[in-house]
Amino acid sequence: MANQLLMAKSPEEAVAAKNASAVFVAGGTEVNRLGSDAAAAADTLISLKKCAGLKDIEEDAGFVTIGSMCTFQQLVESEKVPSYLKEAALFMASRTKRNMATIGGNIASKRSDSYIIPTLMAAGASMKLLTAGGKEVKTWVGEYIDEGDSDALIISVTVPKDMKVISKRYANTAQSHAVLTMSAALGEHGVRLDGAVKNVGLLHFCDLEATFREDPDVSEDKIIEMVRVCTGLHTADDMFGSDEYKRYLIAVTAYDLHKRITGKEV
Amino acid sequence: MSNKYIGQAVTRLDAHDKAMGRIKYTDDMCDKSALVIRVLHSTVANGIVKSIDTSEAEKVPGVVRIFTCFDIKEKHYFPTAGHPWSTDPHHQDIADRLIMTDHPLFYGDDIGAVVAEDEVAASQALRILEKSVVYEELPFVLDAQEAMEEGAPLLHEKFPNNVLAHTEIHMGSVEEAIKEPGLIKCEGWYETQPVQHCHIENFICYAYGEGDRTVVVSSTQIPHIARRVIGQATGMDWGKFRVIKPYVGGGFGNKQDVLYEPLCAWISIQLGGRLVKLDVPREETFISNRIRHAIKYHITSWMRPDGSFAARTIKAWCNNGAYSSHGHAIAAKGLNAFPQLYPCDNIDGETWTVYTNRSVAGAMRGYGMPQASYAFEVHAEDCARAIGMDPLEFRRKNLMPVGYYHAFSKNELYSDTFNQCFDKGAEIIGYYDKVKKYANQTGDIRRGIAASTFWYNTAVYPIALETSSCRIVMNQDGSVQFQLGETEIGQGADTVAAQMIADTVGIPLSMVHPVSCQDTDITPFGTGVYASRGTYTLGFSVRQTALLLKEKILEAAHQFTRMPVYNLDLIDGKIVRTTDGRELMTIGELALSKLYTTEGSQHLTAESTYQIKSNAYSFGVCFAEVEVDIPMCRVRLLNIVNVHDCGQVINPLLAAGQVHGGQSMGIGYALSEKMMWDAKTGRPLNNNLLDYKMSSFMDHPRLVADFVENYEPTSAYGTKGLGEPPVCPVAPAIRNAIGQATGVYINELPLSPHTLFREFTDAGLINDPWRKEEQGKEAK
Amino acid sequence: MAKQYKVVHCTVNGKEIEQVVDVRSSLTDMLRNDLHLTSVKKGCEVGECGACTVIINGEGFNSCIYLAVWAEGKEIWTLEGLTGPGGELSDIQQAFVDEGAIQCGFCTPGFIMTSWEIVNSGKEYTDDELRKALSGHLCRCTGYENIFRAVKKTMLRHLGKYEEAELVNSQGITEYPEPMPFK
Repeated sequence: MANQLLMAKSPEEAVAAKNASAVFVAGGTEVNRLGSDAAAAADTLISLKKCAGLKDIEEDAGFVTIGSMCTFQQLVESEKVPSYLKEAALFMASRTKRNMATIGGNIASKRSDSYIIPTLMAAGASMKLLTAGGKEVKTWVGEYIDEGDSDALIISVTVPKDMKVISKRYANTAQSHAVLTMSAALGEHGVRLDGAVKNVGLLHFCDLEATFREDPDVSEDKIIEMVRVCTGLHTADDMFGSDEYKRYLIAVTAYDLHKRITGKEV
Repeated sequence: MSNKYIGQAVTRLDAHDKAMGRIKYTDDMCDKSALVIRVLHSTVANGIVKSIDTSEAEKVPGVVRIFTCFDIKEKHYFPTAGHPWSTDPHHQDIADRLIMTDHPLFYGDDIGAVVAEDEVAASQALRILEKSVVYEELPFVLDAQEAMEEGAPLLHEKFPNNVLAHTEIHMGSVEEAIKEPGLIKCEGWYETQPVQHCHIENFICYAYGEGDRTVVVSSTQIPHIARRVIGQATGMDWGKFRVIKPYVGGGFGNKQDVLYEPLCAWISIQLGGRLVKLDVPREETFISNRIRHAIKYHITSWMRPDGSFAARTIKAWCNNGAYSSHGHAIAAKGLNAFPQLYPCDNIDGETWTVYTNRSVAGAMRGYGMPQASYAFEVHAEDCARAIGMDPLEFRRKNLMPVGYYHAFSKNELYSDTFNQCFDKGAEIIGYYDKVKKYANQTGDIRRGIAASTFWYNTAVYPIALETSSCRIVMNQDGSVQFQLGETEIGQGADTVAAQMIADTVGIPLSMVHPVSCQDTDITPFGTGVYASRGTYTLGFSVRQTALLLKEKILEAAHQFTRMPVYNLDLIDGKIVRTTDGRELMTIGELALSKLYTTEGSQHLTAESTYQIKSNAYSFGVCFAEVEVDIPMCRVRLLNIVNVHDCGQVINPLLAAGQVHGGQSMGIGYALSEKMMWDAKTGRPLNNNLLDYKMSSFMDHPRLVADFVENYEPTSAYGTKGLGEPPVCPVAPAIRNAIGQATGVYINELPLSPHTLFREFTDAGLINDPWRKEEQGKEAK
Repeated sequence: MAKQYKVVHCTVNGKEIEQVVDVRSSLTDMLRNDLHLTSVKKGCEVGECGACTVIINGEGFNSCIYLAVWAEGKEIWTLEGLTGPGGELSDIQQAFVDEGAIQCGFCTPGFIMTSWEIVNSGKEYTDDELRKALSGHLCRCTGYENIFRAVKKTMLRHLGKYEEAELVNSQGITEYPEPMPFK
């Protein structure tokens, strides 16, 4: 249980203090809540609220760089932030929570029901990290999710300004954890599909992308069947739904997003 | 009696203070020096605690004392239900609970407690303590029907096959009746899910010693009953305890059980009367308080071609969880309602309440009737479809008729309530046009509309004691305070009682003040609020007491005005000579004079008890209009209209508020709420507000509440119960509307997207090629 | 391990204060226990129910997951601060009273703080936007119906639309001319 609090004044100070028994606190929506395992296991909380240089939003040459401590509400209200990212931030229904939750914190939590990670992955977002040695490292969001150094501090996230990205999120009620959050983005190589599947993880749907590329007019039935039998997808029956239901949802959502993003009538 | 305030949408008396934030709830009143108690819960669903090593946890700085089940030297088993005590041993609630047990019967049972100086120390110690419990794990069972089978783990020795109770009803002869030729049979299995109350203020209590007694302040609906149970649980005289109920942040039946008051009081006593506080975190509220019974039904009806019932049977299995709490009463209520709602000469019915190793089910808004109404009303819809009759017409034909008299309860249906409510609701929502418009749709997005009703009554006569006591005390300026055993928990009991008193005594409402906090030392005895008894039962003692006070006032007025009592009245705070309407003196002048006069000084007060020996049917309907997105398996609620007959509506604003709240619970019940346990470990899966899907602002449409007012002849003010009825018809109405929209009629709850997915795919509405392949294989 | 304390300087309900807190305290604990502002309620302590909502520098936050030390230099308002010095209710408080939007009252302080932010924003929200803006608050008593009326009416009045405000309560049925797929 955490006993110490460090109000880091700079990213360098925060990173220097980070070790296995210390945890970064960004907005507090994950770490500060009752029952949080992260807080229970740590000795020290490193608060990032006072860190200089993590709250700016800059636009440059078609890209928007967002400081990791920018809140979801700041994303919604900023003129520079692309609308597709605002939509994803609005998936968090509670305004008072949006005033606290940060983009960096949400990425770092790597939740399988994350509000914004699928959108960032689909958009090809990149991140800047500060590692323990004081080194700045650039990486893709997808890479960070798979292998990212949890002792490194996320400094900023960079997203393309004018990209077509559409996202969808399914939760039983406006507030609850989502069984599926999925995003589609239209890039020069075609359509990219990423998703967060609750209790499975953050996934890049390469196989679906390939299928759509091969045959842009593929039928919905075929997609449903393809996801149904996909052995690389480890969905299971749980309280969010049956395995069958989740695969169905992934398939119809992928189909729908693909249709809409390539501009076809639904 | 004037009707100046009764029937008016008077602002509730505590609204102003609540809007200012200065109302104090239990935690707000507790001194900050209180020691914090955290309960150690079992992490096995069934087992024996072999040992608990407290040494490491005791080392945590700030820990004052750690108690375990082994510290209980005398085992006083106690009942927890919020029922009036019965002096007949056969009628008493089952006493099967211990303050802390060494034989936990569900994941979350209470096996110990940590007392510390602050929350952080208590949580730290608890985490350590949890790891040092050694259990002998035993097999467990979570399903009611499985628990009844031979060889299932036995929870309580005195209850073989885990059957807490089993009751039957038989009328006429079903066996003979079904021999009639040409009968159409309709049969179905219906299943409802466990849900939780989710009052926003968690259960909390604190206790401290005062003299040789212990004071317990608790967020409870039943302070007087709590006192009795604390005495039973500790084996001490009941008078050694004083229970105080401050403002409560919602109860809905969870707080109609004695939860942690006994443990809290006992710990205070062990610590020499130290102030100790037990605040149950939300996660623990889900598991270790109470939940709603999940009930499975099997209903069969045989109908004649004209739509009338020839015979009906019902069987119901009710999952009670690990301890009895309210016991068989929930299932019995449903069973007894079955022959009443749709009367039929030939009925066989049976219901079992069964123990399982799950969280304890207790009272929850509706007390078995939301479950039963779901089963009855979806079955009725299915019957109508089987016959080919319009569902509304089918109901009108078969529902309890005007003049129906129920011998046991002496309830009578005095008015044409059902038709009136259906007519009004249908007009508001535009039922007849829409039901035609929505018939035979095609396409992915379809709309549907349906209506459902329910059975409910008011308070608990004749099953248990019904009594209410009231005290009214007048001040020197003529204003009054009143006290009631019926507790204000947000429903507005204080305000309607004040309206009644103002009108009956004859003084302005601004001169009537409730003592909202019940204190067993001071407040006249009452059993609290539950069973929608509030307005009905308090009305009796209020009216009786108000009239007693008025009698004393007019006697005093006679003394000061020299006019005979029969020519005097108290109207709007003035003593009036009725023969010519002249105002002779104000109530303030009278009260002052009567108190200070040297000729017969008297403090004007009145107090009385009224034992209620009547009950009242309280019916209503719900119309639900939905839009179903079939491929996405989502339901959107377009309009929900409830029309209730609760007799004379004392306060339309508060009454509508109660209906809205019930509709809201019904919506969650229908579409998203469900408590779940892991089948392998018996551990609850979704005991927090994110995973447990309570409806939010965005999940509700505008809610419409309206009333039909049939003055109840047995009532003091023409009222009937309203607190619980609004929950009952909502889920079946939504299910039936989805059915009307899609042709798919589902027999379980909740109607969540993954349930709809399964049903729509089975019905072929969703094109799942894999499913087609499987069905193809089976066909071969 | 020794506890760590810090002094927090901030303004609460218009008054400058200095408060020593355990660094792990939440803002809820500081407001309730140290400053006796008991209108701030604990409902879930995970930021889900909104009963603990307070206004910090003009915006609503769940104080239960907000560290007290983060309040340094901030301007904080709780429900106690909305009432005038002579007990005058602000219009949003009065609307909650008049519309029957209060039953048990436990969710009320949090709701009023967020509603206060909404009606004072100068923005006109559509019904759906209003619902979304308020969806960070859970209520089990009211079904949100009367709360919706209270907030919408007050919002319209702030924008000078008094006639429209009076029409909010008509108990009629909502019409939905177009189908609304879940896309």
